[in-house]
Amino acid sequence: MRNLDRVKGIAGVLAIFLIFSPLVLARDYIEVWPEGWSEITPLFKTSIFADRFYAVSDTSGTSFLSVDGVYFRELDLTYRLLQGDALVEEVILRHRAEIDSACLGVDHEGRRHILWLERSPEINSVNYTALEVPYAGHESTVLLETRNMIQDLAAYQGDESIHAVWSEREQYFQIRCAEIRGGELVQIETVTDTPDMSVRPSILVDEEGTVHLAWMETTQIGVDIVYSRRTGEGWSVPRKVGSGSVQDIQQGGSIAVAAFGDEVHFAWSALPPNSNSLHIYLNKADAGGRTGSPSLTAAGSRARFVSGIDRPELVWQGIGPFGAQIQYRDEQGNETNLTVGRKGAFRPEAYGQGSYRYVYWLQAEPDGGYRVYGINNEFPKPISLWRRMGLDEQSPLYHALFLFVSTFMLAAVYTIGNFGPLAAAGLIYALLHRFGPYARQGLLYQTALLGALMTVLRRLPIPGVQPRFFGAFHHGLAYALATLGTFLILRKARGSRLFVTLGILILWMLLYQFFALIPQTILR
Amino acid sequence: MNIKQSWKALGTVLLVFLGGMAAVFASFAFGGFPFPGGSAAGIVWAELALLAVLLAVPLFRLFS
Repeated sequence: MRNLDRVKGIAGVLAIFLIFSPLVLARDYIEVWPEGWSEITPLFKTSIFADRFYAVSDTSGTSFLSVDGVYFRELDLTYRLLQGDALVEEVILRHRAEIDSACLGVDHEGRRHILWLERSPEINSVNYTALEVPYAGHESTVLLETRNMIQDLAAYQGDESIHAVWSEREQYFQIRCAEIRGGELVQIETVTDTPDMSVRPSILVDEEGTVHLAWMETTQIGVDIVYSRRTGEGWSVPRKVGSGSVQDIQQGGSIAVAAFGDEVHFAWSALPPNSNSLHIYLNKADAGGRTGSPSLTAAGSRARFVSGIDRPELVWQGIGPFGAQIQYRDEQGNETNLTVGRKGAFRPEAYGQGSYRYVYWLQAEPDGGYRVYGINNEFPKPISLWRRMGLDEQSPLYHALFLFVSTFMLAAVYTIGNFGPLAAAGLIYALLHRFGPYARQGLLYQTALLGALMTVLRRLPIPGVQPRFFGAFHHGLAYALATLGTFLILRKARGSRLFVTLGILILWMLLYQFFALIPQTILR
Repeated sequence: MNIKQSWKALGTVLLVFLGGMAAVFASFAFGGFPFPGGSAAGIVWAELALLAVLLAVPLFRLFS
């Protein structure tokens, strides 16, 4: 009894210490940083009236083109040059206009070329301007004026010329393609001729000078992702690359197009069968213009290939627990969530220089409006050991205690929620136990077998709740720790076979859920 | 079960939970914090293979 009183006393002192400790101010979550990446830098305020902003890099720095403002008819087309995080130049190229879309390109001499599509009640126009670094003024040129509805301007900057595309409504929306040299329109042609709506074009010119064009075509039965290229004989017969989605068109999605070697790669968003959330699809066309079957990559939208590199790497707007988050996928398919904290991030743009990657995106500001944020892997943020483990470095022990308690409670709920797989595993195990070879096995074997049965059975359509998947290693570790832990706790248990089996089932599931749920609790 | 045994059992339970938690944190420290994502499709086959191996072990012992 004296021992019991002593333990009670120690527990009481510990509880008072923890409750009244200043460390009680520790946060219930921490921001887990993507390893090898820099701090996230807030850059400049902008708007979401245009479907994308541009980030282009050269020796002068990173140039941005954005459409800023708070009212869609009074937008400023703004060019900015940043060197590192420092804003070097900021020029408003067009004041207070209704701008639908704009494109920025940098030629081999470092000259910035800007195209934009402007609307007014009377007339719509495609406009062009160019500027040098350092900025020494600019003059705007109207390349084309039309009373037709025009939208979705996209362009490819070559060394000698710019190829631009947009969607223009005559009777139906058709894709128009133009070539601009020396600030003048030298060629314009209509690529499509269908009663379907041809919208959201993207353009690319490869090293051979072949122009590749992809767009979305809304038909009576859905949306097609269509590809054509201009050879010596004119535009090729449009070829369907995959299926798109009206939802993606409504949200301002487009087709990312990039050339790697003699292949042209496409990335876009669509709804997979039996899903109501957009997913990224990939496809490619070979040197002969033949396309394969589209492949589903991940949940999300707004995919963009990392520009300036010779292999396909992607950034996109994924789906996270706090809304949209920015995902980066390298050539090997390794995915990294670049978004830190409980803030939604969307519309990524990215470029690469050698082995370094620079990714930019938009985040909503607390006081209204939106801001461009950037991250890179050139200047990785140092991460403490505690933070690497997912613990708050300011009060790691308190955070660990909080995690222990909350994960334990969550694991208990998940264990109850897995009554179905538990019962099924128990029944199968009871049948197996009728055979001598299985009945004679030791406790460790019984625990491992019941654990393996439960992990397999929970994949079947038996009602149950599962933790999020945090990779094969963590899954295997949770299984091993649950098996070993159950064995350690029950190794001296005495009782009927039924009692021991029930004990293994419940304890293994509780321990497995506990260990598997730890990273989920950290990120919640 | 006397009081001493009860405390021992409680100590074992705490050791399992805290020790396991420490092992999970150690794996994060060595391998980096894992982020959710990726496909669990390959894992299903690994789980089935483990189950098959475990089911085969007693039979192997029986026939060897």
